[in-house]
Amino acid sequence: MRVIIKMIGMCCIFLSCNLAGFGLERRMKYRCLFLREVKEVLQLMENEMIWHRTTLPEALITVSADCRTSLGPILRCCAERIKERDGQSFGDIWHSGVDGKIPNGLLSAAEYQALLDLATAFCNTDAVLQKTQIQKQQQRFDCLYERAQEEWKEKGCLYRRLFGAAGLAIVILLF
Amino acid sequence: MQPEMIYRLLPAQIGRMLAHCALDPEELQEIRLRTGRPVMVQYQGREYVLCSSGRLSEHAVEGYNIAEDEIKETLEYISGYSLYAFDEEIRQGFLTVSGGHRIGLAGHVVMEGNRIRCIRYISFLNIRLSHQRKGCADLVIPYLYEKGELCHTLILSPPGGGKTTLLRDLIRQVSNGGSFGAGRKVGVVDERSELAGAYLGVPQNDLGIRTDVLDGCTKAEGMRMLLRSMSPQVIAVDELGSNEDQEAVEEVFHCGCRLLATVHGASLEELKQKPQLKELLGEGMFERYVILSGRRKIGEVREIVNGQGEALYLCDHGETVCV
Repeated sequence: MRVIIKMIGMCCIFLSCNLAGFGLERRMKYRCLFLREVKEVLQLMENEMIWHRTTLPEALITVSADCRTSLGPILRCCAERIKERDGQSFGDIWHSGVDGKIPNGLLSAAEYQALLDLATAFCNTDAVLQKTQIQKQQQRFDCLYERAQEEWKEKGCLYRRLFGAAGLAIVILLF
Repeated sequence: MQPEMIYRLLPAQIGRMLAHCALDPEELQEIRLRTGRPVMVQYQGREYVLCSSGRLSEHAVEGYNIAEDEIKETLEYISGYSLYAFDEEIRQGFLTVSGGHRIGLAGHVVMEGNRIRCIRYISFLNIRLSHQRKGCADLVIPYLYEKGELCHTLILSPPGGGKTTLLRDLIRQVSNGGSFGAGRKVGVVDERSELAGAYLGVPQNDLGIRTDVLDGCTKAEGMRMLLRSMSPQVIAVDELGSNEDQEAVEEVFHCGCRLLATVHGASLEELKQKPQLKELLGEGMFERYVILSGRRKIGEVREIVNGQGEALYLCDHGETVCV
């Protein structure tokens, strides 16, 4: 009976360490997905805004339909706030839309700031500058996505294995 | 008109100041915003500055100076945060918002050859409030019918004299019909969205139950399109002026359609000097001329004259003389 309990305990420790490792890797993967989705959203928004001349709330809702990450709710929330016309600038609407919807620690400080800076790309009183801003943000998120992807490839597997090894080490030490 | 609809287009602080002034919305004509300059208001035919204490003043030094950020904020509100979607309207120099109010824009113009590409660094806004004065054509309309038929009519006045407001009510009454005549199918070419004040294609002003509107279309092309596809009995256009307009007007006359139009001018004599209209006037195409007093008394009809130049109605220094 004691052996069985020990075995179960060992399995739980080993599994939880592996899960923690998987969780960390998954978080890195989600970060890549998120940044890639931001890139795609910028492209779609450019099509909607520059070529189809869709108004901003409609463009945000249309584009949010294809989103699989927490970016979708951010876009929808901003679209709703715009329609309310409560006298806030789009920058404030975007900031409050982003706030609280990104899981803690998912994005680095630079990535979070880049996300906030999208406000000037989506809404700008200078239409010529707006096109430049959209392209600039696309390039920025291109770089951020590539960096995140490299990090995931380098460290994702490593973290999974390290945690697995740590689990094994704890099991050996304890038992 | 609900003034809150206008105040919501402005930065919160300015909207509050205007609300505090408790202005009669029917007497409010314009709100002018210029970066770094006092907010100016055209009210009851006079110009005032808006003070931060929420009152109007005639002294510019007391005015609230609008900041660049507030101009940008206003642009965001008037365009629904989508200024890029109004490229074509910005090239024309104005936006029309819900309610039919027109907002003139000025700033740095970017040219592409002879064509305006866009306006950047917009620093000047002129919010012209649309007022539909139903009934302002009551005086005029009986003079425009002869043997039950509407005459080709030209309304003259200097800028800001009330031509467009009068034409708008004429269109409504002709479309709906009345004791003067049966309702007619009216086609309107609203090049600058001033007559119908269409917002997203929907007229914000009442132009009558039988009226079709071509919004944002050039007058010459619009008149031809209406003749081809909408079978109008009456065509209405605002501010005739170019050679293309003249050719299109001749087509309208020869199609059996009646025409209601306006033109800038203080008198018939002045009009006859305009090369674009000389021919039309010379041929006696127009059967009625409605001449307004101009800025002296906005909307006042000074004279109604028939095609032969005989006065049918005269208003002399406020005294009405019906002929």
